[in-house]
Amino acid sequence: MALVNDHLNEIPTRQRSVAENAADRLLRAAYAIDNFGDLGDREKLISAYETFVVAVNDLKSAYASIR
Amino acid sequence: MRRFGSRSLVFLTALGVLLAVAAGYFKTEAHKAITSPYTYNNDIFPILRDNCGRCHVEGGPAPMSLMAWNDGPNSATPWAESIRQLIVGEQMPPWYVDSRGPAIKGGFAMGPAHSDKLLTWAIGGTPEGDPAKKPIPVTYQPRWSGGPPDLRLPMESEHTMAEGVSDETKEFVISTGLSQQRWVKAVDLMPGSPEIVRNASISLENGLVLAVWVPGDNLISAPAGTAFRLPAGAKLRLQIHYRKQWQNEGKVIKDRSAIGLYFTPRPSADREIQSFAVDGPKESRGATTFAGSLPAGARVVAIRPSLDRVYGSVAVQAITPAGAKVPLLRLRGPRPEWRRRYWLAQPVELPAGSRIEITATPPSAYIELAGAQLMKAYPLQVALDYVPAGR
Repeated sequence: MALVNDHLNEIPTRQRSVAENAADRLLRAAYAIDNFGDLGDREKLISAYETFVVAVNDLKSAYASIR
Repeated sequence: MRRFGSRSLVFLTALGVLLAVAAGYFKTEAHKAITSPYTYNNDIFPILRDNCGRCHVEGGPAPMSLMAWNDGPNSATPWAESIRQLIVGEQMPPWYVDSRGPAIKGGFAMGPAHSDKLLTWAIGGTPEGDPAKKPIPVTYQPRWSGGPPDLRLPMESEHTMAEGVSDETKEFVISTGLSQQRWVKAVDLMPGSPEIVRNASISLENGLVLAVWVPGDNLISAPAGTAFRLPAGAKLRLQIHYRKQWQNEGKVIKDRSAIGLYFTPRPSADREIQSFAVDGPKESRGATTFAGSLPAGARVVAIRPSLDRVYGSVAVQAITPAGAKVPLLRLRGPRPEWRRRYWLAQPVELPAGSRIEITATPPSAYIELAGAQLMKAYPLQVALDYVPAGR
């Protein structure tokens, strides 16, 4: 969240909506992982994890220009 | 005797302390620990009011108000688990425009920072915060979001939703009474009974769709210089999906909604909004791609998807005869019951023969398996609203 809350202005304008979108997907997937982990629901957990990984990669790409 | 009494006193004191600790422990376990640094009064209410308050308000179209902390079923705390599920499952708020696609007018996307606060609060014990900062009550205020319409056309008679009916779709024909042709820039609906009017579409009888209405959306007018044409004597077809909320089950509820028309001067030649639809396959399972070709050059102003199920994404793009790919709309996690017209922030000019291609993908398994019940589904179709190009 800090990336989006504090560092969004450091990346090119066209990447900001990409970063926000990725952060949104990452956040929801993270909460889903937490929940399905607690429930021990392997199928949903793996599905949420896959969404999480894609979102992390999108976020990395969005911030690639300032790394 | 004295020694025994002293030992007994020590034993009883120790037992008492143990019981007190145990009682305290079990009491703590019976209530969810407060782990959220965000409180309803300070952090959560403003987010709910601004993002959910158009519908989730006392007397509003949603089945519960979220405009109070913990005051029975019409308050946020009892619904904290549902809030968590619906945000994580990408169902709420119901604005599915993917910001990686073309810009769309209107909408109420909730950013990740607000989602994070809501989720942290919902699973973190739903603290109230300072009772002195309790928000002032919010109630539903029926209003025309575009201001009073130029012509208000109520349903010709009341529709009664019978006691035993909880979900139905009805069509009504309404005469405009227009003695001459008029041009319309926007069409809206004022529900008579907001608690049962779930969504609606308004079209010319046997003709063009003028409006696709869902509760909470603000009215958006057609781009300047474009308009819908209403012939003299036109009749409108109003289709309403009625659905009772849980607290209204078994009640008789009557509705007499009204259509609002917003007129505009006649646009320049051939700037009448027309429509072109691409039908999807009847049975779509997994990823689906379907397409159609524009018969003539078009300046696309809006896209209207109708969906038969929940999708993970829906992308609409045009492929010009020269091979250029032009994105028109990108949705993430769209749900069929939230059918809308998406007005492009920047209309897109396309040459004749452009191929309109729609790609729909299934949702992630964890969302699909969440098993949220669909309220309404439609045949899979994507319609483009356009004016003839280059005029």
